[in-house]
Amino acid sequence: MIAAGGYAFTFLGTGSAVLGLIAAIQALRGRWPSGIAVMCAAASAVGFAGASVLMIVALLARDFSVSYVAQVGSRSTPALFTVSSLWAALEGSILLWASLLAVVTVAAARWVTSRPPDRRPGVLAVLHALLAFFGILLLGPGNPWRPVFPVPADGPGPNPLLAQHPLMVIHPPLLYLGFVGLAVPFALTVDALWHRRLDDRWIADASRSTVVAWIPLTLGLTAGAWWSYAVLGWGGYWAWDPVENVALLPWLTATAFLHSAMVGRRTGALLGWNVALVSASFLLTLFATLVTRSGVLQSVHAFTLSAIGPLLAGLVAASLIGTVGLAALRTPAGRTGSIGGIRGAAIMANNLLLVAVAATVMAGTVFPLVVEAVDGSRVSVGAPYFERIVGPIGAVLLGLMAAGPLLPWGRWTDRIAWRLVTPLFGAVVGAVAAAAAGLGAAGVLGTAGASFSLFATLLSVARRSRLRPLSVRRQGGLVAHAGLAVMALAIVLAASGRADAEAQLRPGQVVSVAGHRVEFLSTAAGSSSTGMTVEASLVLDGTAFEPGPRLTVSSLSNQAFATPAVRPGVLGDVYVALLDADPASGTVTVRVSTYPFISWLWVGGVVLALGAALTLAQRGRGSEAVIAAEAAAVRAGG
Amino acid sequence: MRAAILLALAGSALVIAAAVLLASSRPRDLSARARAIESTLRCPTCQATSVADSPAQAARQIRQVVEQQVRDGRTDEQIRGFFADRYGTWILLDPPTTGPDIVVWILPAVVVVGGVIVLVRHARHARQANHDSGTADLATRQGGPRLAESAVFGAMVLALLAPIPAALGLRPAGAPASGGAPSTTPTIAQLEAWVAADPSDARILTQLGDALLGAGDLPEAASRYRAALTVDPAADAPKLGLAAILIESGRPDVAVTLLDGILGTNGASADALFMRMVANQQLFGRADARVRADAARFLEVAAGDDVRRTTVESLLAASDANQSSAASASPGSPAP
Repeated sequence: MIAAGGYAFTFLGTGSAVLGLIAAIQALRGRWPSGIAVMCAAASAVGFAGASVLMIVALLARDFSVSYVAQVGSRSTPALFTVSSLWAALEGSILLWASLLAVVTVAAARWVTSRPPDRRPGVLAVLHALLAFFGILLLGPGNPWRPVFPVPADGPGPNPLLAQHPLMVIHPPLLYLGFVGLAVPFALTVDALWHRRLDDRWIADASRSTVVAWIPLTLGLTAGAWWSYAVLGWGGYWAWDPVENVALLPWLTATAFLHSAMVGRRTGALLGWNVALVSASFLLTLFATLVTRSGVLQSVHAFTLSAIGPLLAGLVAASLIGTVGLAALRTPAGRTGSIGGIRGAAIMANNLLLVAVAATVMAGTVFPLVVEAVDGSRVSVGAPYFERIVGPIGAVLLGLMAAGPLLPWGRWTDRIAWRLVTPLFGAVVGAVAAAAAGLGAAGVLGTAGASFSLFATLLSVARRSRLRPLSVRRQGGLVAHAGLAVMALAIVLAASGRADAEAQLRPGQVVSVAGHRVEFLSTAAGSSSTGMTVEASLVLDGTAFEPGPRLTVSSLSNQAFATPAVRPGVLGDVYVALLDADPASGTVTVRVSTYPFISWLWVGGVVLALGAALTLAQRGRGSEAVIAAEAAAVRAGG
Repeated sequence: MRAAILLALAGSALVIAAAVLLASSRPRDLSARARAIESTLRCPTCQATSVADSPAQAARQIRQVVEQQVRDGRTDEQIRGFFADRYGTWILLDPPTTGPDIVVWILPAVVVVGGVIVLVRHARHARQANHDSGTADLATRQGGPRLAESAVFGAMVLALLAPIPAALGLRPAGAPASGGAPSTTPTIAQLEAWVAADPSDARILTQLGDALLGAGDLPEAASRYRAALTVDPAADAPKLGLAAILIESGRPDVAVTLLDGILGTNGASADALFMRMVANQQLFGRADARVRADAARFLEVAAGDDVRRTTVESLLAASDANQSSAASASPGSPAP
């Protein structure tokens, strides 16, 4: 019953998207009013959102006659994780993706109408084409509504790793929202290319809509890193795993665009470059979906097991060829001029390095797949490679980030040099403190760089609020920079200041790490929704460490998951993973680690997104005038 | 003013350099060295974590070996080489800087150098344009930077396109879409070698389990299937193998629960239907409604040339005729 309704809603969503595509094309040709395409977008949103709601209802009702529920549902999964099972497997993720895209399409249709020329037909043609594609996936090879007969009494539940922590409830929707949000600047760009209208309005709207998508993307990546730290038990937050890497790629290119758009808005230069960055950001979200959802990572041989992988590959290839073709034919022989003085030069360097990081991450992620496909051998490109290349580039980027806002859209003067020298005080303090704390050489250098960046950013904030006290929006970028500097500091300190100890403990025994005492009391066995668990009761520095670290052996797959116990702190976390528990002797093997300042990584991520949100604040006439004046100055002063 | 700036620069550089020197002059203890080595080795049973970070059993064993070798005074490269010899260079998380792997190392440099060239040309062109027009106004873009920008765009496109041919057409010729065995069946020894080379390929592990099951080594087969499920908990094939083992070892009731799970997600799995039919037949006799329902469904979904068809048809016919004795359906191992 629910299945029939769900399929009908999916059909409504897909059908409306197809109709919307036709209507948008007719509107482009001037035959139909563009309002029809907007109405189709609304109908499509009703269809896909209704289908998602029905799927959640089916999951909560444990209706195992629906194939997706039979695949990821179970009677013993708590309600919160039952709802989040909507994105625990392939078909449900596509459904969520389509729903978010449909809602974003409606929002975009409302947003771009404000003044002529009417850009709705072009934008809606692109977004409806995407929606129709994902709708067809859901009706065909990715249908989550297939009937199951006989109806099973219970299901296996979601992958146990995905049903342990509330962060998994927010991480995928945020990431997907960021991904689908990047379709809007892409659609605006395709429309602008089609009409040869790569004007100031295009660059302003493309960068504004990129910020809107960038906020959930940033929060989603941060939440993913935090989840990885809190659940996977290995103590890290970023493993340079292909799934993580491909999600980072669009963030890197979108970040590059947010900065190069500043140059574009002031000088009108870099048209082709900005088109490339907007398009690459969106195409990389499709690429991320292809890599994570086609099974190519389990084994390259799993790729063609379902039709979804080849269809997604076709979508990526078609979008890529279409975009490149359109850009090659329609990018106008635009204006060229100065790229905006030394500030512009710093931004171009930032772009170059961000793209270099993206190319590194892309190459390192794809290379093993290519090698395996070509000669069947396996190579590893892992964390040491990425850290060795991204680390130094990241350090330079951090310096540029600190210096950039202090530089003028004009010529170099000694006064500016003085502005840059002042924050070196922060670097000196950081270096001395790090050396005194006993960090290694890399840790001292990293701390110096991150403190320089933080100090310079705070100086910029102070300077700017003195110059223009009321412009919240123009502080947004600096707030974001401060967030990133805090993240950099946390990354450096947690990596270089960590301490570990692995110990086998009998009840009553104590292990000490970096001044913290962890005493083992006893183990308690129990069962959870995912399988058999053993939980260790510990005492950390005299107080009970609750909940204790757990070891869960999944009932079906016989796989063991170590859920760590974390005591977060302003100065650092104590992190205990239960590696082994021997019921016969009553002993446990634990790894106790301390990570200085790691909580600031999550705080920094939120500040980063918050800063971006501030830049969206309603801009007053004053700041428009400031940009216009700066643009004039740049064009005049070269 | 310039002098003051230079003085400030030199002073801070001096202090920071001193701090770095102080930090690097401290001797590295053995456990820090061991940790550094462990973080460049891949945990053989995990997805992407290093030996240093992984809580897995295999990683703990490797950590013990590394720490022993560090105490024995072997160099970092000797220890890494020791593991590369045993597991292949796959165990090293950073690819070698020789051979074709050099591509990933030089690519970032190529991007940066190429980008700098483009930028410099662009800047020079812009200055030229401004100079030529004599005013500070904007000039029409000419060939140079446009070509360069297209080159960068093209490079990004190539980087994006590269994985697509890699991802397409990868199915080995002759392999059935269900991920079963390739046309030539590898021997157990071959499969063991492949598993040793890559213990995280669920498909090969399953194949090895199937081969061991065929050879009658039930405990070994079961452990391979379990390993396959650890890698890919959603895979059906290893569960089918485990169900076959359960039926063989007289636990058809447990096999039925396992098969119910498979059929819950994939109701049209002929293998699972056949096995549940066999298991239920052992439990309840062949005239049971569950057995007959599975048999009928099996005949609907099984391929036309499936050899098990005759068995199932004769079973249905026999129970139709309600005879007390008939040719029994063999409860052999049906998994491919």
